[in-house]
Amino acid sequence: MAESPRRYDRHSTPIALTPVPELPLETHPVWSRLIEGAVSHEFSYAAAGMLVFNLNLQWKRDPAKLPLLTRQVRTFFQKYQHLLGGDLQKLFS
Amino acid sequence: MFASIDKVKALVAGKSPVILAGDESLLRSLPKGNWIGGTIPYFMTPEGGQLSRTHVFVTEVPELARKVRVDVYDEQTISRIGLDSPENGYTIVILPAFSAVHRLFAMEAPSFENLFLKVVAGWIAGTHLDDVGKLAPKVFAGPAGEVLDTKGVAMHVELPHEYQAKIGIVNIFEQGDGLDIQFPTTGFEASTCIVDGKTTSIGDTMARTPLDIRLPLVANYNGTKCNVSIRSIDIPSNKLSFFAPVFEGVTYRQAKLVGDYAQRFTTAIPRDLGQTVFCCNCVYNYLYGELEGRRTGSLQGPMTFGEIAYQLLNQTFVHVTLSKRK
Repeated sequence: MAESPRRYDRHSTPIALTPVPELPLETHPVWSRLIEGAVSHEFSYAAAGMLVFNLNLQWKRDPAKLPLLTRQVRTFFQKYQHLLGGDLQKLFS
Repeated sequence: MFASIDKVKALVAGKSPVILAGDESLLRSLPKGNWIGGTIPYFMTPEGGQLSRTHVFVTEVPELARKVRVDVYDEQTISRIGLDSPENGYTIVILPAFSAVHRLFAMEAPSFENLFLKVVAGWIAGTHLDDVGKLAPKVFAGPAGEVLDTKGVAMHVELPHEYQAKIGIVNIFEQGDGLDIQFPTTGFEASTCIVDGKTTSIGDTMARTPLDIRLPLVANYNGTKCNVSIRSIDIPSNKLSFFAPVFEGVTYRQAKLVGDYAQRFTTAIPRDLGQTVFCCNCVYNYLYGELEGRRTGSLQGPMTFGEIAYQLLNQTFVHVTLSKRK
């Protein structure tokens, strides 16, 4: 049956946390440049790469959606900031 | 766990939530319960790749889960899956191959609300490869005892705050040195493509650079390689068909040949994954990689007609792991 929490603890791998600066505001130009594909970046976290790529496709279909797409990408980075520290440092340094 | 049907019946009777993969007749014999399932007779087991109509692959939900819920989705509701998935936890979704809900998910999932904010993984139910087109793949919603070939099913697993789930994608394919190919429209079929900025027929493109049906088309999604498998190449009809949609505006290139699939997977699957709560691989890797009887590292699961890591992928190994927050 499912592993007990105690057994799980023995096998668990703590998430590597990379210290990151405070997440830039939605108005920071890097967010919109990411959506527009003007910033080329290969993400270390698969979901981030897939999301940004898909948002870029949506923006190409409807450029007026840029503010909405920018909000979406920042919300994602906010939730997964602990997994994206290295990417954030490269993007915003 | 790769188990006999008697053992699975005992597990289901014990009320522990489980996700099952197996032959239709076996899954039909199970009582109602806290389980979901999908048809497929191909598996990666501790003994290596296996075709089995006697055993079922059981993916157990960890005991530490706070809450588990099963939902059924159709074409009208599948777009809600990212919203329904728990804020902290994961969702495993199973869709019947070639159904409308499979098609809609494949085409639209990348724009589903909240999808990438959650952890949504899963697979496409199938059949024995000899039965494609003869038998409809099925999914099962255990709580109501439903057997479905036009709807999908999902198990949403909520985790305690101190744990978090993460999807991993292992793709042994690399883009090759061939043509950069785009497609003028999103879809599972194409009769024209765009090469060097010029729209050409599939027949002309194939005459210039023949595609190898065993190798997927690979796109680079900002560092994540996403595959689309070729289902058929029909030059007289000037038609290519795929097991996942090609997307308008995406540049694909056919993958390089892979030598030893089993070796490549063994090397590519990270060893320090923590607790794996789900994984699946593609039936085409089983078939073209000649994985029957061969192991691909320590992880096991069904070999499916499509893998879901947020969106539909092909010829890819997908896993969900738990980590403890620091």
